[in-house]
Amino acid sequence: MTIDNVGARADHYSYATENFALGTEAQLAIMILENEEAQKECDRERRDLALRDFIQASEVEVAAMREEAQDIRVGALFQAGATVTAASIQLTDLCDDPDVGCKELPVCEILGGTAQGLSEPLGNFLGDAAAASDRADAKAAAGDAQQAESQLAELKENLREAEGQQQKVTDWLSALIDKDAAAMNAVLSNMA
Amino acid sequence: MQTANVASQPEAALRSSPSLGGGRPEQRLLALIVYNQLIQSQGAETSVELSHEELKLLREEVHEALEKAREAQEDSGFWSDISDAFSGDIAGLAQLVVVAAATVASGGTAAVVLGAIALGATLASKYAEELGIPPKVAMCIGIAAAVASVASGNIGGGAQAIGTTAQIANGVKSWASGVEAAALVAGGTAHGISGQYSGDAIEHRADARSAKLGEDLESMELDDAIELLSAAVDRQTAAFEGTAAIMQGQQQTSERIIQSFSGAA
Repeated sequence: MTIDNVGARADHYSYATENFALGTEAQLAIMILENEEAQKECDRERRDLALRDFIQASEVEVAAMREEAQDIRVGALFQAGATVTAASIQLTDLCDDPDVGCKELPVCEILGGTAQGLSEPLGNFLGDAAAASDRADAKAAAGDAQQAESQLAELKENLREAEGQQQKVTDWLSALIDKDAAAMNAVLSNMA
Repeated sequence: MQTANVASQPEAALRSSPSLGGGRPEQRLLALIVYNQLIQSQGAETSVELSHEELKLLREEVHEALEKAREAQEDSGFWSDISDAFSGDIAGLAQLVVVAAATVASGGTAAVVLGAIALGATLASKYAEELGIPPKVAMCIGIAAAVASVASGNIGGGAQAIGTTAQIANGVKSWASGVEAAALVAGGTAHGISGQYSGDAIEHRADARSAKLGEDLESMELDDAIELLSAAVDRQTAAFEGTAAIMQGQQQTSERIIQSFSGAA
């Protein structure tokens, strides 16, 4: 709701106030009720927004966690693949007849060694680093969700307080009406 | 709060109240208010029951997902230990034997130095994260380790050792290389399985988080429904009390008017 709407709603109540012959105290009570109602409307709007933020941030957190899981799997698979490839090349090299092939340039050893050397850092680079980034995203989203949640709780408390305030004002109005009724009864008694 | 009692109160009131067409205005007003609150109460009551059931299911879902995550994490830890044992301990030891055998076979000291470099670089690239080495630097160290490893096995001290010792050393080197390769295959496979379980654990935690979000939202709805129910009951009570007070006031006024007429007569 916009401020204009709040004003319009308040005007609606004011209209009721102006068109009925009410005492000053009753008018004051109604004005307080109007004010609390407008405040409640604002708080309701903010609560809805906070709830939306909370849901959104929580969903982002869950998505980041799923991406993290995926990255860890990819990294582990890549590292395992590179290691197994390196070891296979090494084994193939061992099984080869040393008299066959060019041993001056140990291609298999170079390939195997390179694959072996690269497997761990590349696995970390592709898997763990990306997962760490996703973890950071998830943590940031969790922080946002927590913030939205506490804002939500605060706004709910505000709404409860406003309702309590309205209840008090309503009780006061009832007391005023009772007082008027008592005064009328007293007048009638005197007449009798 | 006993929802059955809450529901029975307005129903009884509605049954006892006169029809909307007849009766005094305050009675009709009371009947309308009670009827309205009854509908609200019943809606809120249904909402409370549904939310309660949903909440129970979601709690079970969270519990189940967390349990699965714990199991997956345990499996991941088990396979990670196996991977570390094969890739780290057994393969490292085999590499050390390969370097030593290569040194003996080549009869030189250069292989020892290169072997030491290869081992150091291998360990540095393996534990890069723990040592705080950036990933790209770790990759360079890994390549250096590979080059040093290859060189240590092929570059000698200038003269090849001859005779039975060299042959035995070459045999040991071959066997150690084989053991190293086999250990790497086993370790790599175990690492892959560990990674899958680790991913599963995070996936299950994400499921738990998702279910927890649903639980939070359902809990909020339940709070709102209970609040609405409570407010409806309060308003009903207030309506009863207010109407009773008005009727009493009117009765007193009528009595006084009658009394005043009697006095005048």
